[in-house]
Amino acid sequence: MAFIRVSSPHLHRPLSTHQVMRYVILATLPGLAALTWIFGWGSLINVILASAFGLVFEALVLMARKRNPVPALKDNSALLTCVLLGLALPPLAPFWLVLTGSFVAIVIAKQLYGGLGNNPFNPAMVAYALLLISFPVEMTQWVMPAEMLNGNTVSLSASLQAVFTGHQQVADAFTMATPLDGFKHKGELMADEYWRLDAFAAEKVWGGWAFASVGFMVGGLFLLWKKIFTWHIPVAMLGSLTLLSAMFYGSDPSNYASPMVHLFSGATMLGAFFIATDPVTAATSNKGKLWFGAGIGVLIYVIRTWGNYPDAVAFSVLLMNFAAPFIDYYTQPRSFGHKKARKGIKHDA
Amino acid sequence: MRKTWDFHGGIHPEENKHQSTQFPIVDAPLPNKVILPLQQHIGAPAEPVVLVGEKVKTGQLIAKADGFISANIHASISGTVVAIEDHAIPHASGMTDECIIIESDGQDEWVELEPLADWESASVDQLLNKIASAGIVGMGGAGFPTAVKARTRERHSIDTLVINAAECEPYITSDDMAMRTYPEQVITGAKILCQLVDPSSCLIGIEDNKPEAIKALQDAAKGTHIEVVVIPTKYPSGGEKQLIQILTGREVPSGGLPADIGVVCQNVGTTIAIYKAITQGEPLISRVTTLTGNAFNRRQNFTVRLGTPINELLELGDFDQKAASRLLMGGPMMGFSLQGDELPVVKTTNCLLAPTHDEFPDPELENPCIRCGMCEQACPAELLPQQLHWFAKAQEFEKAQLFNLFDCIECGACAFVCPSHIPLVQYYRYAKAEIRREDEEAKKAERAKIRFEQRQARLEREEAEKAAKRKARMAASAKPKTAPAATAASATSSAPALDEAEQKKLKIQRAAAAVALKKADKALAEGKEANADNLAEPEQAQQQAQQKLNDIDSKLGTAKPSASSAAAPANSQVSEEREKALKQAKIAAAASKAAIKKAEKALATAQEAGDEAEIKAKEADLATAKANADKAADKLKALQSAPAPSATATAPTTDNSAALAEQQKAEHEKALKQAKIAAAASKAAIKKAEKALVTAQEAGDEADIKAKEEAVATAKANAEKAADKLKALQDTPPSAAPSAAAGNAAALAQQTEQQKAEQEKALKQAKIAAAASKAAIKKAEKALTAAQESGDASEIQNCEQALTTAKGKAEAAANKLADLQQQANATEAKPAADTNAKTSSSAPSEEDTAAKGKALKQAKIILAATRTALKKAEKALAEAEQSGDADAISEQQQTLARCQKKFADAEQKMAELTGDEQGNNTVSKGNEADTASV
Repeated sequence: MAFIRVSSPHLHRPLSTHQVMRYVILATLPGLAALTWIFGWGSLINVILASAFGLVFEALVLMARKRNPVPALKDNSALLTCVLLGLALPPLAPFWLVLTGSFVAIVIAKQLYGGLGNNPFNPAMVAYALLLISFPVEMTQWVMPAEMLNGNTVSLSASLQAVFTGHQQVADAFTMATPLDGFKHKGELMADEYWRLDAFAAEKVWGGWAFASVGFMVGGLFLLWKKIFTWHIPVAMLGSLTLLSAMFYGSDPSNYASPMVHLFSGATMLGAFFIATDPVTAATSNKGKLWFGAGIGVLIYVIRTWGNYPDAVAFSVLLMNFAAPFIDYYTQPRSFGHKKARKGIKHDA
Repeated sequence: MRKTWDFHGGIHPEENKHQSTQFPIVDAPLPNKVILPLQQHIGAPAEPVVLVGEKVKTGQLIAKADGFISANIHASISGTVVAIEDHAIPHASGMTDECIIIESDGQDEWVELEPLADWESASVDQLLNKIASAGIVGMGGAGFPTAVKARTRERHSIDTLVINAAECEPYITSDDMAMRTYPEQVITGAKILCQLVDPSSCLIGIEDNKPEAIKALQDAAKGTHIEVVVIPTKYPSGGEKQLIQILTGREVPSGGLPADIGVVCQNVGTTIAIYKAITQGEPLISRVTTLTGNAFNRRQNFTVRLGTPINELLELGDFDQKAASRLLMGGPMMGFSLQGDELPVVKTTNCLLAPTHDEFPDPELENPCIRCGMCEQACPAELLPQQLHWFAKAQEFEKAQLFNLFDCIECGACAFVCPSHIPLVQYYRYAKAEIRREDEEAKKAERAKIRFEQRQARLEREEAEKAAKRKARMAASAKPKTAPAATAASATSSAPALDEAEQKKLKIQRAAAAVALKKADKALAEGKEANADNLAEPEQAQQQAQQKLNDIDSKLGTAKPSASSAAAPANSQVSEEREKALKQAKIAAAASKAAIKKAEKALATAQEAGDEAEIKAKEADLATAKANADKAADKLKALQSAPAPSATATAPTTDNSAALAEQQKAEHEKALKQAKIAAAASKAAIKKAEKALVTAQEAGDEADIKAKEEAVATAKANAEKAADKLKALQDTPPSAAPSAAAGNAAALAQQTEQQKAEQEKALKQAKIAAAASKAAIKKAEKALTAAQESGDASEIQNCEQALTTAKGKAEAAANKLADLQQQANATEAKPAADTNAKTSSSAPSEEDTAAKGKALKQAKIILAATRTALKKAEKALAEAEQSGDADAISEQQQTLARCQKKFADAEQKMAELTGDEQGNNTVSKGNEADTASV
């Protein structure tokens, strides 16, 4: 009798890459639902469009690279990237913006670096950053929340019209700056003056953003519970952001936004649970993840407060992506039976 | 409740233990035959003590432990030894090894067992001997000889004895069922171990998924100081290091042993084996093995005789081959798949696992790593598995080592959790094997370098000896020509009768002195062999004897010239000069001996001090001192052998020359004997060194091992030298000397002819060897391609190894061939020169010089070529360094080193040739003198 030879271990946990990706995609649903609830169909259209473009691009580029596209398409990684990109883009963004973003994310930021697992930068954030720099007007117009539009969101047909015909009037009628953007350009106004300026709008907008943020947080906690990632990056990132904003807010509340504004508006929660935790581009050791997350939090605060851009998650994540390999070398865990952890990659270290 | 600790990571695979715990342990039926591998343990394989055809009884010793770390093997059935041969053994690589195969007579007739009736009052040595002679090894998986482990108390202070009853691998229940069935045996075995190790606490660590076993052990342990500690179920809590951490909170240091932190850990199955060995006298001939997995219709634990072929067990378990996806020995996490069913159960076989395709589907395709870090969360050794995987994949083994690759225990937790289905453990095994291979190669290269240097030294020495001989020959052939008339006159005019009596007396005295010297030599050699501390006395005796012999020799020498002194006044002056030189040489020899002694002493002190750099320096000093001594001895010898020709020159009477021949013969014999003694002594030294090496390896002290390895290498080199010398002496028959003394050109020619013939023979042999080695390479290459086609990694590795050895052999053969050809050329050139000298008086070996010139030219060309190559390599290296590409730099550095070596070789050859030319010039001058005097 002869038997096949397989090397140990022979058992495997029933959790594969495509399942991991699927969990993450599922976890975005509360956030997506909240966005759709508040801002209308725009985000959903973005997500669907981006996913469709992304999968096509993934298949094409894999064929161009002379690789079998089927396993890669099945692993849900391209889908996840495009879902995240769709969530990050402003609702009612013109379709060509989504198309360009998907192309940059999948073809340039992911596949040209070698495909899944080999990209040093978060593909969705590369695309987002590129679009933000190239098309600042389209990228900073955010749809008004439903409650500001007499309780009705933009209708599906109007949304589709805005997206595909690029009817600027449609878009302009429903869009406004994000609260972070508005706060950033409040000029000489004091913080409370700004908030009082349009109390109704501020409350509604602020409430809408907070609602969506909570949706993303719920999804993130689900992933944490599922042990898809560890707590280190979200906690470090949110912690450092809270700490910094609390410090400045505490010293001068009239000029600086409160920690609550920082935590529950913009892409903070999406970034903390879905973007920064992208394992491919993050630091890997537990200690490294703490540094990585904390770095993102600090950068977000710095760019939001003193930088040129209203939101900063994309830039902060990309900057820390640069630092991830370095962080990894200097945050190796102490291995079993060793007196201390090794730092760096030198022999005598 | 005792405090326990947690270890990092770990996983919770489905346990699947219930399948095989439904029925009690049953004795498997006696096998029809058993296959007992000589190595079922870590350490040296056992040495068979039975012969094929011999009848053996159950429990009879059939193979004896060989060395300190080894284990006895006993017959597990009664019957006849039918073979001692290579047989497939259960091993991850599917390799074969030497096994003793016994065919059963169905009687199961036991040898008489000798239990230690009152073990509680037995001494530690008695217990250890009993355990060692029962052939007990760690039954948990590694198979480390238990007696050796139990002996750790001799070197470490142990406070905790851990009995590993965790059995954390899924499916396996052999320990569980054994503990349920024989709890008293476990506890008694543990008590015996306590008596051996004398710890302050004895802890049995058991996972909480075995409530029945826990209860049974707790009941049995009542009233003893042995504590049953229940730990949470988590794989791999049964790993030795992990269990020790759980129970004591201490970490076994990286690269260290549990004993380093005061812990000894033994498997629970081992304690049962110890119980049986001590209280029943039963050696390890059976064990409990789990048959489980859904491809077995009967899933149960059996007590199985060691060596039972697996196919008999498959039958016993009602194995369904169609349903089985694979067959494993051990558990699903660390067990290995078996290639067939012709394999035996061995001492470490705790489980045979035959899962169905549903249970263990074929492994999924490897996906790219997404750096999710789940492996890191699971790793019990707190490594960064995915980084190690990247390094292994990129063959960055140095970085892998920096990331503590060798702390990986290959538990498989990382691969278990990897969502990308990357066979991580496989990558680590590959990296480890590659690193070990590289280390091995580096060691080999180091050894080759030493060999090369030694060979170089030997060649130089031989060259020097040749030059000395040439000089002596020149002197010998010059003298008879200078004073042929005088000798003729002395032969007729002197009064030989008077001297003859005196000479006879001297000869007798000389013989006696020679015997005394021999005795002294022998005593000295024996003393050296026994490594006696005080060698001064025999050395002195030997020196005295030598002195006496020399005195007589010189008297004999002076007596001879005195017979013809009247006729040869010039000779006395010559001999006086010679004596002076001899004296100087003797002084030099003595001084060099003293230097050696001094160096040896310094070395010993350095070794005691343990300063490695110092030791090396001293060793180098010693080597130079020895080389100096060799030189001095050579010179002395050359001078001592010189009086013979001069004597023959002055007194070529038939009488004298016969006596002289006799004397030479005696001397030759003496030298031969000495050489033989030296050879024997060096052999003994090798054996001793090897023994020391083995002990060092057993002790595991790496520095010591290295030192011992070096000692073996030097001993072997010495032996080689001695053998060379012996051979050289044996090859040169004493008859050569008188024939040369007679100045017979014909004899000389004959001799060279003979040499030539010999060389031709050697050349032929070398050619054959070269051809054979080439054939071997081809064969190995063929095998390699076949292996590569079949895709069997281990086979490929084997073939590759075979190929490298074959290539090495081929190179050696080619080198030898080249050497021989060179020699042959030289000898061909020489006789030609000789004949030239003899036939034409005016042309001093024109052909010879022409050949030499040609060789010189060639050497010059080679030198120039290598020089350019060297320059080129240097340039390339500089470029590579500028580009900063590390791979390219190292490659260029290697090329440069190669070029440098080639250049050095070429230079040396050149130097040799120019040296030869000068030597030749002197020779031809001598020839000129020859012809002139004729």
